[in-house]
Amino acid sequence: MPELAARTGGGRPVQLRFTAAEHADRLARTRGELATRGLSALLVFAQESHYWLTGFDTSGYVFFQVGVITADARATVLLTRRPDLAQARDASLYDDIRIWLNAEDADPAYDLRCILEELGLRGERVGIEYATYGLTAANHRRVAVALADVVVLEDASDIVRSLRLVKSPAELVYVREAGRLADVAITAMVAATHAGNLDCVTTAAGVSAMLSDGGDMPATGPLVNSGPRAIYGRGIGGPRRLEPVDQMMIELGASYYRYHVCTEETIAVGAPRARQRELFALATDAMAQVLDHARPGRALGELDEIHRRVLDRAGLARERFAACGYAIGCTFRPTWMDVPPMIYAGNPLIMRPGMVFFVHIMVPDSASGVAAGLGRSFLITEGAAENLSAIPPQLHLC
Amino acid sequence: MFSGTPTLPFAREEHLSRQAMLRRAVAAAGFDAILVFAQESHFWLTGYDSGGFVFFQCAVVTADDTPITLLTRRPDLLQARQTSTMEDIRLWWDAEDADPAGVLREILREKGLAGKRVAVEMNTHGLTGWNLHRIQVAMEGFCTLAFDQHMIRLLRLVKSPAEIAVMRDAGKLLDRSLDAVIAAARPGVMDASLMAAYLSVVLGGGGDMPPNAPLFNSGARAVYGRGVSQPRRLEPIDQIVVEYPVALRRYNVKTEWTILLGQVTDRQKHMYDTVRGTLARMTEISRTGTTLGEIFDAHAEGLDAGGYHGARFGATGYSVGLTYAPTSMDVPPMIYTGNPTICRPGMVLFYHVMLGDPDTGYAMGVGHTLLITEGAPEVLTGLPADLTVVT
Repeated sequence: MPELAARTGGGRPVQLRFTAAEHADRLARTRGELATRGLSALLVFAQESHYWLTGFDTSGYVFFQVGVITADARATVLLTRRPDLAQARDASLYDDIRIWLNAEDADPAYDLRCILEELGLRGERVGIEYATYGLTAANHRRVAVALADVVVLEDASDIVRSLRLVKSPAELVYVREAGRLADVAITAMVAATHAGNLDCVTTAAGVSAMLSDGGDMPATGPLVNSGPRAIYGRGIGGPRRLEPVDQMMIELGASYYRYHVCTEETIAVGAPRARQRELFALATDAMAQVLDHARPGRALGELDEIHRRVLDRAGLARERFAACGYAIGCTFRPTWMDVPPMIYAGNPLIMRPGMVFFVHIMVPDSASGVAAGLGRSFLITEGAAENLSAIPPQLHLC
Repeated sequence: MFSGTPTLPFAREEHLSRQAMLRRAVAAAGFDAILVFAQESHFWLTGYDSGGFVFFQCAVVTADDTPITLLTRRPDLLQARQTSTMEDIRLWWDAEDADPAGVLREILREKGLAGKRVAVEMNTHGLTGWNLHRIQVAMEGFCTLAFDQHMIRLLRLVKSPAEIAVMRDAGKLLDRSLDAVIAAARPGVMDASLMAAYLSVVLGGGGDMPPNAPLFNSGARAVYGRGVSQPRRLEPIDQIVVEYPVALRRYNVKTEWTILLGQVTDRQKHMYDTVRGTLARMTEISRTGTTLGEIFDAHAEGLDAGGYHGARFGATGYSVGLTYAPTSMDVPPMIYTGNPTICRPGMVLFYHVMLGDPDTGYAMGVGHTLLITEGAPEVLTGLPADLTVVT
């Protein structure tokens, strides 16, 4: 997949992953939503929004970094640090790139204030992306102080996020490729899992397989939890050696051009215990019902109701999680969960074609210490959901 | 069958003494409690090791000896129990009307913190602007919130002997990974396969997944300061800049190195001599009492003397150690001009010197991690003696 040569509005040559026309359409829809809400501009702090709107691909969001998009067609402005300059210039559609330099008295929030004044936004209502790792509480406070008497800030965390929820055909090309990479990784991980190995050897096999086959580093994980840790809901540091009879939970996201597809699998090392087979059968049953139910026009929360019903009937109400999945898409560290929306009972969001979700049925049985789980990512279409994994549900035996 | 027993990353006494240190700092700053949101802080204080910080998650530590209370979500419950010293773990559940900040307020009420002064750990990806807003709304009229001024991060700046032991081991693992990366570099392979070589050594050697995406930038992208997606095939004449962390038990050391394929031009040789000499000079002056600003100035003087004033960055490194995604920069402190932070024994710093030449597109970067001691610094990560040129 070659990068696409394009030019910014001002004529600067750049390399993009989507056509300039697609970015222009995304920008226009964002501006339309700003106008509808009576906002004169959007302060972009989410790295996902930078990438989706302009192609800008970086980890510079770990420091103060902001994009300014006006509701009208004025030049877009990026304020970032020196290490991000070259990739902003060569690989983003931001028209105007400003730099702040680290110093004892550096105040990028004040630089932002000056940019807003230059753009004539004094006294205007301006939307801001608050709900993002790209804006820590400390930076939120700096912005609130610096802009207090300049503009009226209003939470607009949901504008770009909501627009990103339905993927374009070009995005789906990357999503499907991420799905293929996830399967490649799982196949390699199952093959690498043996009694006597460290569990991190399984992790290495999956990550190597994805990277060697053209994937990016995923935004987090993979979670590879074995033995007593298999009932945990999140990854943990430090390796563990697999015993002759053991268990392993894998939750993995593969990433292609920052688009993620997630999957969850269960491995039994040595002879699986009867309890693990029972739990896995429950997960398989619930997952099949979820995939069958995931159709346009239905509320997202109904998927979690299936998850709850299957596990509660099996007497596992106290073990199960309160949510069984989330939207996925182009995401950056620290997570591949593109939320909201989370999938919990009562979530009224209506599923529409082009949305991509990950559902996992995780069954940790803390009484026996045995765990099983199954997770799949899928695309909502006009008809039945498109399962993004070609691996049939199975308790993997190693 | 699989019965989990609590396993802490450090001796229980070390965790308890860190908690006592924090309680004293909270009291000394005039607070009655601190709301702890950084996963690094949770791990350092109690051993709690999770990715739960991506949602609303908070530990309440009071100035007095009241046991710590953790508020988190269901997926984190079991590992909070099994990896930490914490015993009081409360849950909030995802729902359309979920209000974790309100739940947190009721925990504070139980602890008698109504009307009291409470510090908030703000400089962390574990507390987004949105969640701060939710806390401010929930605590309105209930207690007084204040910025914690990096309280725990500054307590973590000087590492204990047990932490230093982990970081030395991480350094040895890093050295093996850099050998593997150099061995994998040749024309025709994807630059990402060098990254795969690095991760195989790290993960196979008992390391963790890195908290930030490693930078393996080749060709024209080598001048970028950060990693990008999409692999690229290496050409017969090429350049690759690598910058990556190696994490062991969540403790990171870092390296930066440049690999040339096919040839080295006089210009590249000059760039290399400049950055390598500058890194050596920065290392040499890193003694107890040196300020971080002075280290930046050595960086600036070295590059300016080489004629690269226009190419230099505004910072040349930072503190490293215990960090979770999305970054391995344990900042503050950053190393920039005028930073008055003084080097003390037990601090671990990463220095890197990076040049991108806009005329030729040549990039050159070197970097290493070092421990400040009573005497000369101890370099924890090694670099080859000479520029790597694969021919």
